[in-house]
Amino acid sequence: MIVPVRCFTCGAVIGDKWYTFAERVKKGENPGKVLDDLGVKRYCCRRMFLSHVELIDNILKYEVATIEEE
Amino acid sequence: MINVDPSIKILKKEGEDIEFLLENVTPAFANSFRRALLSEVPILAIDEVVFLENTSVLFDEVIAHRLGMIPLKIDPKIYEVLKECYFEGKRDDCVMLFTLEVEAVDRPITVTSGQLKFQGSLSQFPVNIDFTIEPVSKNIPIVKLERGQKIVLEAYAKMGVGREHAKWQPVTSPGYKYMPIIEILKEECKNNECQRCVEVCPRNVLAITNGKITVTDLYQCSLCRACEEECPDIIRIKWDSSKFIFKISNLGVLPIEMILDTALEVLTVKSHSFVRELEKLISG
Ligand SMILES: [Zn+2]
Repeated sequence: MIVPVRCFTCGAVIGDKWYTFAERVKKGENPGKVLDDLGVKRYCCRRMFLSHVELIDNILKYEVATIEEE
Repeated sequence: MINVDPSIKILKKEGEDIEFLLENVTPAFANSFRRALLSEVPILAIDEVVFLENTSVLFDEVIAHRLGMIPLKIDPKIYEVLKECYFEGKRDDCVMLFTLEVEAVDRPITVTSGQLKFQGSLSQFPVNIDFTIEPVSKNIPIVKLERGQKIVLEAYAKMGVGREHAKWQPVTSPGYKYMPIIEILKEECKNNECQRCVEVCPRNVLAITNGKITVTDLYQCSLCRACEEECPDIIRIKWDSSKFIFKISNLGVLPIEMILDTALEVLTVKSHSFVRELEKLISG
């Protein structure tokens, strides 16, 4: 749904780095290099970024529809 | 039997990460130290949330859990007071109040940890010091709001330990390894043959200088023994089980020295009470 606050395995904070990561990868940068830049070293934290799907934006679309109907 | 005093030598300190050498201890002690670091050092975390309004797409429980996971930076000045609160079983006397009130008016927004407002302690502190408690990062997303959605809540942060919930862990998983000993049995061997053991090392610990095998960065060795497998007659990997290389990455809640200190303090108190109980048993 929304990016987790911490890494499931080690507990390091990852939530604050997600939007920079997503933006840079969307622009075509190599995800591995972006993670190195952000200082995400351990592979437990790296998979949090690589496997995350930000679904909340899709759900928010339907929220707009209901608001506009009212 | 180890009869020399244990010691800690800091090898590397970069930002929130620390690497140190713990010497003259048993493997059991090193492990109990690691476990104490993870689960016995009390810190603050949001534990109770009162929702006054929540029209966002996330449930109250999900938001409360996300708030709990946000690490809170404690002012080192008041840590002693907070620690006492916890160890004397009066954790309800040291409650910190945060409030959050955000409404998306004309465009969708992301509510972040920086928008949490610290409102002070709920009870009178025994000491009169000005202090603030804030999230370690201001950019942790809590929830996303679409136009017209609103969130109003009060969050109460309490002291606790990692044993109870991972949100009270002061550091990320600390790790340690034995101190490696790389014995080079034959320093010189035919150059083109020898290159193999250097290349096979995944951490680049070995090098060949002037035709001799040398160890360039001993602390990096992960004891994988790939080099020994490659040239068993030339290299022997051993380890010292009284020396440990610890690697800890701090969350930024407290200075790492204070965390190490408190962990050792808790271990001391626990072993003293264990000895007292044993003595009681012996004396009947
Ligand atoms: Zn991790």
